[in-house]
Amino acid sequence: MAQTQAAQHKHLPGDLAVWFFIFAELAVFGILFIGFGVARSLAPATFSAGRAALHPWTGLINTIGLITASYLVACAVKRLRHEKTGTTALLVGAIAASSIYTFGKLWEYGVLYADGYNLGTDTFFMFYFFLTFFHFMHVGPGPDHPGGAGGEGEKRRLPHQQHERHGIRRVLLAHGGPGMAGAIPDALCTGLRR
Amino acid sequence: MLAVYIALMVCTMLPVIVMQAGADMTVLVWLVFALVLVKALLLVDHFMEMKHAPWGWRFAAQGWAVVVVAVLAGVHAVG
Repeated sequence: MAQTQAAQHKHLPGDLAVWFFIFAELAVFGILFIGFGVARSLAPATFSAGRAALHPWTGLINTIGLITASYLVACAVKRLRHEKTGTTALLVGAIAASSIYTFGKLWEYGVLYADGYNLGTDTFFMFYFFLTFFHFMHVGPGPDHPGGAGGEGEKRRLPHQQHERHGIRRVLLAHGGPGMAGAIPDALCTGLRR
Repeated sequence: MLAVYIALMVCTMLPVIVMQAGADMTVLVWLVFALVLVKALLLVDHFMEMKHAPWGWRFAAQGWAVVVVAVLAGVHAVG
């Protein structure tokens, strides 16, 4: 009886299609990280020199911004599901927090480019710019998702079941919004600097 | 949820604090690998709401970080 109830409670949050999308994204990130690791083992001196040119504090601040944004979105989704108010404030906070990453990353790209580093500098920077920009493009459009979905949620007060079927924006929101599929890879992106 | 957030923050800041304290690079690399696993498990279960998902989906989502970190650790150990 208890087992049956537990089985009934188990469900995949959001749309199935979005999970395939997320797993495809994670596979790409996985391949890139492993490629980075293999390339590093082949040219440790190049990677060590490249790492020294990065800004570890920017990486830390960016990661804090993304985790905070994901936390605020997760809290907003929970409140929305329980039909509580205050989701808009949480989502505005999430946009602000994810903007720390967006501007931090743009600043870092600007500084590195001004110092003469680009995709063609060496293997390290080819991987660094490619991987982090790929990640950036997942996060950059992120603030549109919580902003749009939060506004709708506040107005419509969607019941739980309808909320689950409400399309890609809400599903992305449920999976961390600004962090989205990039949330886990971000942990490894930060690791590239160390 | 707040406890998860604080745990993620600690996992994020710890390697930087250890690095600033002048820890050995080898120790730091393995610490980052371990903390990435902890962060991935917390993110998947709580922020991505997979804690109550069917076990196969949860296993696949959590397994991503385990596989990537295991391969990177293997490459690092061999290299």
